[in-house]
Amino acid sequence: MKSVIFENVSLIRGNRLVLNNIFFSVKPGESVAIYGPNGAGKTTLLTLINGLLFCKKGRVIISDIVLSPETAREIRIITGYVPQNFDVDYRTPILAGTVVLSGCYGKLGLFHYPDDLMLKKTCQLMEKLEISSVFNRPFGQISGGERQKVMIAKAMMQDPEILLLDEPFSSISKTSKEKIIEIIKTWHKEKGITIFLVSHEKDVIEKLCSRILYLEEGRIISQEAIHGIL
Amino acid sequence: MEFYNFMVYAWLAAILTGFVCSVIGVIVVTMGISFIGVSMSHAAFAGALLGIILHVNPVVCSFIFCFIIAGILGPLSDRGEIKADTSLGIVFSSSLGLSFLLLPMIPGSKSEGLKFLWGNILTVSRNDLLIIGIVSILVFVFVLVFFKEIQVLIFNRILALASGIPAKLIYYLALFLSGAAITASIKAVGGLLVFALIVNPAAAAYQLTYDLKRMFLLSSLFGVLSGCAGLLTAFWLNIPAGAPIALSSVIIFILSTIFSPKRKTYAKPQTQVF
Repeated sequence: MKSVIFENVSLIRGNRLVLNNIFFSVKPGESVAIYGPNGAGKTTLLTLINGLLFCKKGRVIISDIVLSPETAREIRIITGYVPQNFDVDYRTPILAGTVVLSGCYGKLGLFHYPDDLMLKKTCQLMEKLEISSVFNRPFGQISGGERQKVMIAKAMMQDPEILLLDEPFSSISKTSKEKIIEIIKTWHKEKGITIFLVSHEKDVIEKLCSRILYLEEGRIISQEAIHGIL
Repeated sequence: MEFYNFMVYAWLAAILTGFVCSVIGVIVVTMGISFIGVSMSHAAFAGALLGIILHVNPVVCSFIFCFIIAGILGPLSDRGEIKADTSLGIVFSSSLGLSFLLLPMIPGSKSEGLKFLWGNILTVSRNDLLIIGIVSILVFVFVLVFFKEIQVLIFNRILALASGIPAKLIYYLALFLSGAAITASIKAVGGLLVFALIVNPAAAAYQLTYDLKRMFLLSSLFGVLSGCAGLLTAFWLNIPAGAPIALSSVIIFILSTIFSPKRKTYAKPQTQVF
């Protein structure tokens, strides 16, 4: 279980101040929603947690580890990341099953290959998320909703201690969404994963998170607890 | 005996350059940086010219130039401030400019320099063959050892990095090996035509499969086939081998596109929703 602390974090990209003096702390096993208008800096904030970006001012501390280029890999291998939808060429030679399996590659490290147990886990995760049928299909040829489920399965394949979800349900049908939320809630309870969710869907936030951070123009405007949830 | 040696060297060079370029080709084509072939080959040409002018081994200078270019391209595309195709274009134009600047500076006959531009597989020496062999082994081992990482890098470099894969290391290694493969092949195929052996076999294999392992196998087969078919044609027509090797790879690409199962399944490119 990992805690996450942002200490006066500011980030400039180009000429724009994307994050401005962000300060908050998240307890181990807590689930937090990041909410706000487009361009508020929500995705940037997520990518600061798994070290895809580094702040020049302030510090991001993950359970006593200050995030830096030197420590980033240590954090990345325990952080599952489900990005917003992204473009993949329909001819890209990678199958959906391989994408899910690749979730464990970081932890495995160089010179090691996944064994039968990992392959079995991949199949189980895909079955749970109802995407077994796309196992052998090229990732670029499956639907948007299936892609998002594959990315969730990939993140879970990592056995993460922190889970970063960036608009993870935007293309998923309502019925599937309910099921996946239940699955994530079960994982959260059983494994004590710390969750960060970026979403515009208030019902998803209410079901999955215990706290909400309102972000606007790179600043945290307010923080609220969502009572009676989880 | 001498004729026998030169024939064996030519055939081995055709097979090895076909192999090494087409394997590297799979990585650069699937990563969408195919233009790296032409940028690197011109850098290798400029390096060779500088070597001739300075009386240093031109092949060594080519290697150094290609490694410098790889060292520039990696961080440039990582920073994201300049798009990959733009940085490749800048590198290509500067290498070309430098080559044209250096070519007139070669004392005496320019043929020593021009042979790196056109290439001649029939003049490949034992040492050249040794270099191509070593680079081929390095590229083969790289693909074998880092296959799973290459697979994720091809899918998405940012996601590879996010899941803890040393994406930068693998990407930079791929760039350096591209430079090495191009430099090693430049004397046999020529700086202008080596690009064909990088892109065409891989692009042909790309038409036929969604499986990366098969793509590597098919591409290397097409590369070796292009090399051998080109060399046979060159013997038959008594012409330099570079052009028939390049044209053989084009014919293989056209045939692959015609018989591509992807083309049958997707007559029109799928509209990307996102």
